[in-house]
Amino acid sequence: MMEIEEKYSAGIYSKRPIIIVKGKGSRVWDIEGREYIDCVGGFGVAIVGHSNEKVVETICEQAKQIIVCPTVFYNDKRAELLRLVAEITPKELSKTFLSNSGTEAVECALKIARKYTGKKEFIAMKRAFHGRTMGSLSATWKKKYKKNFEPLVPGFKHATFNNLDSVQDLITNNTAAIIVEPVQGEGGVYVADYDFIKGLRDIADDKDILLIFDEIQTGFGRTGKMFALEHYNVTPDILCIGKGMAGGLPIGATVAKPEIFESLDKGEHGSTFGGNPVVAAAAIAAIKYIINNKLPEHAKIKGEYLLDKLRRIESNVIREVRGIGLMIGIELRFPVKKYILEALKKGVLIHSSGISTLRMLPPLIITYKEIDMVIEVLEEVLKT
Amino acid sequence: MKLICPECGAEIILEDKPVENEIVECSECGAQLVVKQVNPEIILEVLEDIGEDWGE
Repeated sequence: MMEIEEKYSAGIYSKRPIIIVKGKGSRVWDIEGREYIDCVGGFGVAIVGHSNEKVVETICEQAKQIIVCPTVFYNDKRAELLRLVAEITPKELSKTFLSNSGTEAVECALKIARKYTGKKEFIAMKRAFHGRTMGSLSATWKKKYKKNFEPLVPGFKHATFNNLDSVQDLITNNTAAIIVEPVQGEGGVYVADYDFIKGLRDIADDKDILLIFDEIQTGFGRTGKMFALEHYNVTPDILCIGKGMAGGLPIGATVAKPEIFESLDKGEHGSTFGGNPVVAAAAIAAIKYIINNKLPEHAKIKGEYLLDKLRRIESNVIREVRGIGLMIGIELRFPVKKYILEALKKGVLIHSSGISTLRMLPPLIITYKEIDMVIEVLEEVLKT
Repeated sequence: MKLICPECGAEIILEDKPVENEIVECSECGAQLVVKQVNPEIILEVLEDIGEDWGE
């Protein structure tokens, strides 16, 4: 299997040496039957757990009913999902464009910001990660992702995260929007200060600039609230979401104030697969599962438990433990790869943010017993 | 302890003296740096791509 993937795939991922064939809840199994606790969670997608029963049942039922229904026709599941998204997001954000991934959600946000404001420039943040398509890549910070693909979309500047003066310095009469992740994920799990997010809203209002929140990784309970914006009591003009929204099926969504979407003319944006009935039905099931099982609360309480346990690990390898809810970064003094591979050998899957930060994005249904098992493994792996 | 980022020239402040091969990040430009030498003076170098995927 490994040889086949190596031979025929584009080869752009640094692979881990296991073949995963099954998942249930917070666990996955490899082809030889070995069990792992999954703190990678499909890069934060497996919010409701692997092969969540409600999601699986819904997908099967909907697949028998209808799979393909382009957006030029109305569809019952798409309509229900759109209404549900409007109900769980701030009331001012009542219109949604459905797509298939986070980066598409960001692309849509950038386009509607330009169209609505008639302005061209964007302010993003240093350490930001918004995706790898040309618009979202332009908003992304790291040179590694960008340097070989220039020229990118013009008009992007990067301010220092958690520094309002740095944002102010970059504003011009041509600034269309500020785009920010309330918690920077790929950049190393950095939580935005309360005053920073509040200040961004004030600056945006004062200068007639749109505020875009990228909550692709922080949304749907990950940080202990349904959306991280609730920690700040701030409503953006545009909200980008995705990841675990459809229980593991590909989805992205751009949610915005109605007047912003109304600035688009018919045909100026679109998606062949966006809002297809199977994904829409899966998203309804996943969101209802998140609400009915109070997963944001689970993330808050279990996240605090996990953070506390991690901070108690005695290790001269750890520089800092930070995070919110079940979005946690463990910054090490040395490259993380060897520790990731050691943890894997001991039955725990863990990802990285940059070269030196371990990132944990487990399913929000992870149990205390599983958290304790993860801690035990990390204690062993990081003891030297 | 104050060091200078070899990528952008910004000041990097460390709480403790680093050890060889330790990773340090410049908060100004985001460059990830490795401590190549600690004696007689600390030398930082920009870390070359180590072939990991870090995205999403």
